Amino acid sequence: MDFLASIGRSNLLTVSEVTKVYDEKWTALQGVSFSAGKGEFVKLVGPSGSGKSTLLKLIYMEERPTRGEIRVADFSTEEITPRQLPLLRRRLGVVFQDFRLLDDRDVFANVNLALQICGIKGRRATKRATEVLGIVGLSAKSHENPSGLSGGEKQKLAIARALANNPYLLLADEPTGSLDHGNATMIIDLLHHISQMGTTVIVSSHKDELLEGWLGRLLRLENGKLI
Amino acid sequence: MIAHLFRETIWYLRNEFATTLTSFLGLFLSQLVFGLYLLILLNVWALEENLRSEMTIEVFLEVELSQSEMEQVDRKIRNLRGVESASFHTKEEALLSLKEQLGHAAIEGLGENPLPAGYSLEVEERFRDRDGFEAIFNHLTSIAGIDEVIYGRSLLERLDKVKDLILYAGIIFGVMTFLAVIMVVFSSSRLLVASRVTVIEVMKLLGATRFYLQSPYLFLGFFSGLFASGFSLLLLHLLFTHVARRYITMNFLPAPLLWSYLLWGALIGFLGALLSSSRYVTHKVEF
Repeated sequence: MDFLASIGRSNLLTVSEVTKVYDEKWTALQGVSFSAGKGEFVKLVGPSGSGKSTLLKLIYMEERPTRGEIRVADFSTEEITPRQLPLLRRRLGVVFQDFRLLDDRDVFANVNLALQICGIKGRRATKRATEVLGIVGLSAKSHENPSGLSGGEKQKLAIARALANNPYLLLADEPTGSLDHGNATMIIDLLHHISQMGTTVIVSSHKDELLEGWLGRLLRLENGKLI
Repeated sequence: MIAHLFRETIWYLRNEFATTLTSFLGLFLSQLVFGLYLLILLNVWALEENLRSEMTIEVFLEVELSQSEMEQVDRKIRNLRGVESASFHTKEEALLSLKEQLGHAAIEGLGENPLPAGYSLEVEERFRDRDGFEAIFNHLTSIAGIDEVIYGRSLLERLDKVKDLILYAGIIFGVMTFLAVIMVVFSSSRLLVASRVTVIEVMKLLGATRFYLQSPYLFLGFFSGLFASGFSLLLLHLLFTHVARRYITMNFLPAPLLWSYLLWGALIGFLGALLSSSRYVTHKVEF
């Protein structure tokens, strides 16, 4: 049975009383708890410095919480080992404000990289890469270099790459931070569409009004606490 | 995976050629020095082995021995452990041999032949060291009827010292060269990895394993070492052919050693790459 089909709505992501303190002085997050199920669209809002990026970093386990636990599918911040980390990351998609694309290869190869890393090659990889580029609307730009794309197109490419391996969970950390309003709206719309396809999406932004137009759970962070 | 390896290797050769070349040259020079040392060592050992194999033990018998005593001495000598062959020469044959060496005029005034009969002994291979010769010498001197035993003891001692000196100097020099080349390869490889740190971080986020991230560097390190060894071997062979043809007779490295030499260079390249890239490719979950 497919894993996603086997879990309930509240089981994909569980954040339990998570606190994160840096250098024993600065508390970035304090006692944060929530959970997210399959296909949810979660809007994580709050002013700059409220802990949004920190929370997302803990979810994709670049860092561990100082206290508390985060569970993503079968993985827990309390138990995960460096060797297991790649396995988790293959089931997550992460999108950043600064895109983090690779300019030494074209649009298609950027998406294909995510598939190659997971051992998907040949026709199967080509088919999937073509499919996700179609979802984000970049099919016509497959052989262009990312440096030649507009801001909105770059973010679409980052989303396509994050989507390539059919992730359980897609995390978007201020994906519209570098974009104008028109492109920002387009990106949020795309992420919402992806959640409706079955992937749980958590998108963060310091602009509450940007996320108002889409149905989804709202989580507000202020000074490291969920209010 | 193969495509990934070649892609990354070609990227480095195109974009970081100077750094890649530095690593290659470091390996090339260190292997060249190592190869020269091996050539010298092997040929000194071969020369030493030749000298040992040609060394004989000269046994001089007492002058007044009866036939039965001589037969007894002969039996004891031939049955002695370590003696491969014993060649007997009579007093007359000894005199003839001396005439041939020194000339007829030198022995004209001798009168009666003063030279004793004796033996030239060839020693078995496994006894052809200082201890072996000494053991045979001690046994011979204890046999009744033998007046004197002579062999090149001081030459053997000198040969042993030279051999030890070359070996120990080579080990010390070899360790220093090894450490130096590891540092060169390490530094060059570290620069190569640092130039791709953004790509590595993106690949980590996409779920690349440590092996996937590290394998291009190990591949590049291994083959840099292998090719550097190959080129140094080629140069060594050219030098050897020139020297051996014109000046002295020498042996080149035997086939098993050639393969070890190539693999050693590849191993150094691999090791340097492994040490330098590990820090960047390891997944960490920081507290």
